[in-house]
Amino acid sequence: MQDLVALAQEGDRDAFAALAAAKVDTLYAVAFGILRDPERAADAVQQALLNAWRQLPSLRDTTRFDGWCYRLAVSASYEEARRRRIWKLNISVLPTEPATPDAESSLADRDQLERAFRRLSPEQRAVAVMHYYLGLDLIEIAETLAIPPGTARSRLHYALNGLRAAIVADQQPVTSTERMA
Amino acid sequence: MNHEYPTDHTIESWVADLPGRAPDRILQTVLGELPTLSQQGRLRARLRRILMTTSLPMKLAGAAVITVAATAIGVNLLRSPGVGGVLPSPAPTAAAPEASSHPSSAPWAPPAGEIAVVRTVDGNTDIYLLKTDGSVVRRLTDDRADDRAPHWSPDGSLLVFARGNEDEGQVDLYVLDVAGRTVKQLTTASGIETDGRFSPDGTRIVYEVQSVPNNGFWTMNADGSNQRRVFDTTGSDSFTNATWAADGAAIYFNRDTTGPQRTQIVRLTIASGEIVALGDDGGSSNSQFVVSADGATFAFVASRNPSGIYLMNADGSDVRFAVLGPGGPLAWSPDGAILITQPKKSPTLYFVQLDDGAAVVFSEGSSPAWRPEP
Repeated sequence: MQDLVALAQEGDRDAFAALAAAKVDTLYAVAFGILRDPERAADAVQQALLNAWRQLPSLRDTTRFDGWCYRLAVSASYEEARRRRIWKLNISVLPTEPATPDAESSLADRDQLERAFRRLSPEQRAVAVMHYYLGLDLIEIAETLAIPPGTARSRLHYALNGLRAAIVADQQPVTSTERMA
Repeated sequence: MNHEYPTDHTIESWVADLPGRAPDRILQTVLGELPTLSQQGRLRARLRRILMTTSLPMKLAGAAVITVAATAIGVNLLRSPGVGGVLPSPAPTAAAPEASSHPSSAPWAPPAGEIAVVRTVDGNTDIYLLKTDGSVVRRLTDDRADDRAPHWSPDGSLLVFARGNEDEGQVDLYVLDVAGRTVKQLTTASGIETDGRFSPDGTRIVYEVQSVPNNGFWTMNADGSNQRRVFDTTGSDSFTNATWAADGAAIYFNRDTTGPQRTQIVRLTIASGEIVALGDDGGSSNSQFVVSADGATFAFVASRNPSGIYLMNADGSDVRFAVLGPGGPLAWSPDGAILITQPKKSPTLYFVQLDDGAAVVFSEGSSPAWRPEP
């Protein structure tokens, strides 16, 4: 992997193509986890890979290529989230049915979690995805995102609390305009 | 209600359950663009290339983006037979209560003037001089290599621009004497030297070098002598848009940080190396800025509420919402009343009046530079 990174740094497009092919699925999952939208996630990953090619010569430590790519994907996802925010503000979501009281329905739970997750900030979503999907610990997340460990911890804490709180709130009928990034 | 809330384990399992395979189009697009995107090249350059070489379906898609964006921000789209383009005029919107309190739905025309614009015609990217009505005065450069990033000297007699092939990693700065129609090469080093801008007194030029190990913002005398680096841009953050401060003792530029993931406008005092973020609220991104001709005011794109173009004083004070767009600011009229903007993924440049946000189509092109009045 490091050999490929070194070659790509020197402008070897085939080497970069191999790296991109190896990472694209994971980066897409991360972006999807943050954006919860397949098209926007694809746009973000596309941008992240282009940024990776553009900025690769400035990567000093090739052993950090994976984390560096994750950071670019998260950053591109943030930008995608911000870029679309103004459009989303004017979009009203039709009132939905109250959450089903069927405690055994995993489908209902997933729908409920989906709605709750969309109420988190992109930063909170990113930490949750990196922790639960990539399996990174808080120190690794902090290093990857270049944030203090305490910030990573608090974002994860608030993400989980936010999910629990949103799920509680979601027990009420949804009638208002949904606003999300 | 007898519903049992999902456990933390359920939450964790759900978060970890993400798509296992990315759409094929991501790699296809990225790998397809690599030949047109140099490493250490700038995103803006890539966008310029996409916009200027885009096919008709892409242009139609761009128009659709404008339509959607305009709808979202409360802009009415009218057809302008005079310029053959989409003519947006702002409608009242709750998102812009102050700046658009007196919207004008009538088409208007900018004052007479000249603007340098980059256009690609028959695959050849050159710099053209246009009147503000969109008509071409003349083609300023004609070279097989791409000519981009034009910027005027303070008296409007000289134009510094970047010439070269980014794919081959070789771009140099040149200066054009517009009256004499003579071109002089300013930089000769290997790598990419681009985005040159004259100092307010016209004696120096700040420019960007994209070439390991010389990455950075450099300055030189207007004749190309005394080249020296004033800021090293090596690292994971990216830096763009170096522009002189009015006193010539500092430069402004955008700093894109990957942590905490936002863009800042910063001022670098050249003598001391001190860097100060301007108009920073600790969370918003402030990007794509232009400085007014008198050096007193910034116009920039801010990720604040409402989103749009904001103004602030040159010292970073008095950040205030100005207009919704369309797009971000690329150039400022000499009198400070009008911005030239361009929506993302659109080939169309717009004039936007700052006092009421009314917008009209200017032309297709990119990298507009409004010629200073002598």
